[in-house]
Amino acid sequence: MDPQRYRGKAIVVTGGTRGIGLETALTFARFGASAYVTCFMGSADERAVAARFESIGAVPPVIVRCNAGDPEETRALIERIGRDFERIEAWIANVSVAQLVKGFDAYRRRSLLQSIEMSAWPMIDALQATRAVLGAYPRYVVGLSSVGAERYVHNYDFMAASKSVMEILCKYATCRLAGEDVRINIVRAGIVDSSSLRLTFGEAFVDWAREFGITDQFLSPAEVAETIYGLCSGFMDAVRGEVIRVDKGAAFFDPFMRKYSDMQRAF
Amino acid sequence: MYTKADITGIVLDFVRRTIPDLKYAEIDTSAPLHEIGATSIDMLEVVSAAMRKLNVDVPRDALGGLGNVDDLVELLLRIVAPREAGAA
Repeated sequence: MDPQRYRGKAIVVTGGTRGIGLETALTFARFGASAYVTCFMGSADERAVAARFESIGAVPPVIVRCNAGDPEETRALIERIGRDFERIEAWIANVSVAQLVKGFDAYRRRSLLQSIEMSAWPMIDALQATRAVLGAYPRYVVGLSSVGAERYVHNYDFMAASKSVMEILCKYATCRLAGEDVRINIVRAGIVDSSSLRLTFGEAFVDWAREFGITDQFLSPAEVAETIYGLCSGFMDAVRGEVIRVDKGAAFFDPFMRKYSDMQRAF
Repeated sequence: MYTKADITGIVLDFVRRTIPDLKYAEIDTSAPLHEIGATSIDMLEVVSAAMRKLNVDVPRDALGGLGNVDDLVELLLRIVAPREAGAA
């Protein structure tokens, strides 16, 4: 694998100042990339982020306050990149913002549509805007999905629906753009041990998961990041329009049945 | 120097811009957000816009405790006040 595969090339990671996003940007940076990382709230510790890049001898990141769900801000970001680069090599649509719902009575049409706008549409928006501004699609586009798209996750109804929309659009966009120099894929990550996990589900969730013996299947942000890089490494260019499940085999694992097996062994 | 009234005005302006149904409505700043028709995504957008206007950063962790518009005003005031005291 070429250790300088991304030297002189621009990549974008939305939500790239923490968690999976930051690890992804760092992984590309290790291969020489000039990383543009966005943060919506602008509350990232920019010095800490820059220090992570410096510690690996990477090109310093450009940290941009940008709401990935806002087409104008996305376009402005691309125009800014266009001043220094002719093309964006990889665009990682990592940001997800969705309404968490506590029950069926909390279902609201507007909340669902907002969730799709903020979590699924930005990937499409990035494709269209990049083509419009720079004249070429990013060579690689990876959207981040989650296990919620295939099985029940606590309060994740609208997040999961948004991820499903993103997964389907990935496939259709791949068909629509057949013949173009662009590879669009989705990484559907299992449970990732990050600050977002605790923020979304609370600290108690991890204790609960430990009781069921599933924390071994938690992913680190770096493990997801390396998969994303793999899709953009040049070695997987024939993979297009796919949803890649990254979950350490958790999808096949049934904690309830595992408990039963343990109980049978005990007697 | 921003007063509480200034920040309340800024927040209400962004709430009205973000939630079309509230454009011309009287807003009860002490009412739960869902009662005035605001979603959590609306509030993220309001917070983001207010941050830009006031040139401050709001820790993401602080957003979970927002129950109404007053809570957001108080949060912003707590962040803005020390900065302005330092500048005075």
